[in-house]
Parts: sequence; C-alpha cells; structure tokens
Amino acid sequence: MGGIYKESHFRVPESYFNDFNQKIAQKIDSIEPNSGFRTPADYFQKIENRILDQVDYYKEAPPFYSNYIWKAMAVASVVVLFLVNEKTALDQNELADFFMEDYLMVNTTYEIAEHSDYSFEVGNFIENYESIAIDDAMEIRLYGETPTNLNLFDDE
Amino acid sequence: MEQQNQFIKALKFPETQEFAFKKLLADYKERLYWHIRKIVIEHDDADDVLQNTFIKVFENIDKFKGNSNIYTWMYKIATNESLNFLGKKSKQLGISNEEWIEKQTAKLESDVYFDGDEMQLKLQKAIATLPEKQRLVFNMRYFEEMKYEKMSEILDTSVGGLKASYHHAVKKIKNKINGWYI
Repeated sequence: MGGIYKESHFRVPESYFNDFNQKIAQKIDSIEPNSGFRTPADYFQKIENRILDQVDYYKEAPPFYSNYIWKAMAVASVVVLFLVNEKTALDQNELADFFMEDYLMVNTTYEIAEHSDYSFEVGNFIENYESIAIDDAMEIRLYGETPTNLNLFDDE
Repeated sequence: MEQQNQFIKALKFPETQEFAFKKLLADYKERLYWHIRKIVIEHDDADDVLQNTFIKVFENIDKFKGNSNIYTWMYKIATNESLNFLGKKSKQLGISNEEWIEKQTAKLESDVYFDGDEMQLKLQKAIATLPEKQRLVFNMRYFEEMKYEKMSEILDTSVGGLKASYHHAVKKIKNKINGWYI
C-alpha cells in the first residue's frame, strides 16, 4: 500500500495557493481586534472608490468662490432695490410737479383760494391723483397732455 | 496645527481639493468605519453611514473653521450620522433606538461579518442593553481607547460626565454577563 500513488481528484482554483497569502492578509486586516466585527474582503480598498465616485470636485464651487458669489448677489440686490426705490421716488416727485402744474393751470385763482387749506405736498397730490396709474400719467405727460385735458376726473 | 491649516486650505482650494480629499479618505476611512460599525452593528448599514459621512465632510469642509482637530470634527459628523440613521430605522419600526440595537445584536450569531467568539458575542449583547450615551462612551473608551478629553469634544459632554457614564456602563455589563453565567 505504501508505494501506491493516491490521487484525490480534488482540485483547487487556478493560482489558489499564490493568492492564499494575500487573501489571509486581507482577512486579518478586515477584522477589528476584540470586537469580533469584520468587513468583506477588500472592503476598504473598494469603499474609497465608491465614495470618490459620488464626489464631484468640478461641479462643487470652491467655498471662497461660492461665498463670494452669494455676497456679490446680495450686494447687487440691495443696490438694485435702492435704485428702483430712488427711481420711484423721482417719478413720484416729477408727477407731483406735473399734477400741481395741471391743478394751477386749470383752477382759477378764486378756486385755488377756496382750497387755501390745501397743503401743496407731494403726498397729497399723489393721493388725489392715485386713480391714474403712474405709468399712464407719465405717458400722458410724454404726449403733452394733462389729466384735466383728457377729462380723466370726469367721474368725480 | 499649522500643518492642519494647510491641509484644510488644500481641501478648500479647487486645484488641490481632489488630492487632499483622497488623502483624507485614505487616512480616516477605517477608523471612522469601525466607530460607525459599533454604533449601527450591521456592515451594510455602516457602509451607508460611512459614505454619507464622507460626503457630508466634503460638502461642509468650508464650514470647518479649524478650531478643533479635523479628525474630531469628522468623528462628530460620523457619530451624528450614525445616531440619525438609528433614529430613522427605529422610527420606521415604531420602536426605540435601544430596541433597534438589541434586535440587530440578536442577529449577530448568523451575521457573516461577525467572527467573534462566544464571549465577544455576549459582550456585544450586553453593550446593546445600555442606554445610547453609555453605549457610545463604552465603545469609544473600551474598544477605541479614546481619551476622555477627545471624547468630550466629540460628544459635547464634560469629562466628569463621561467618566461616570463609562463607570456605569462597565458595572452594568459586568452584572449582565455574570448573570448569564450564574
């Protein structure tokens, strides 16, 4: 019996023994001492790429840059709001002058004297003429007309 | 500290961001993974939380002022992400975080990614019965051997409070394990 060659017919995958040391090393690395928890083999090699795939360096604006953009947009918004407000205030003053002129032209001295308690202030004129939209009034003025000429107060 | 500041700048600057983030990932992925894993127990859950943690680190790096160590900051994010994860999972099932952990730990015997012997399994089961804060403190002190000062920064708790938590945790675990063997 001693000299008989015994073949087992068991096979191992190709290069199994070459890879064995590496596999054991990976398995040892994947176990945390004391806790008993372990990870799949190669987990730490693979997870790095999976996380990197989810990070887009180029779409992500650099922090300084993004902060700068937001700050610039905020400043620009404030400036635009200021200009718009100033423009509206200018429009209103201009219209008030226009309405006062119209009022003085249309009313006789007697009528104006009757309204002596009337305060010639921008706010009052705007209030009295508020039935006319600012844009319409500006257009009327552009064509050299006045609210009274156009009988815009006929209903009153 | 100066070296860390340079590294933080590299993480924020577009030209060096990719290289710096790869280094961050290479240096800290394993330490953070094991910290997360002991909180959430299952490998797949730890995998999800680890990815979320690094994505959050990347997205929020500009908010990191460099007052503390970057590792402490990342540890804090990992801890919060893990606890949020537990919160979501337990809410879905209508149970407490502690009950969820006990359920997960009960599955460890059949978990292919748990190689612990009988004693390690019992230890995990005993840890699972602790209140959340004590469980965190015990894991960080016992397994990770973290200093109380560092733990204090991460968990926003005083060193005295942490020592008391650890003391109570050890006592409870001993009693639990002794009870199982008597």
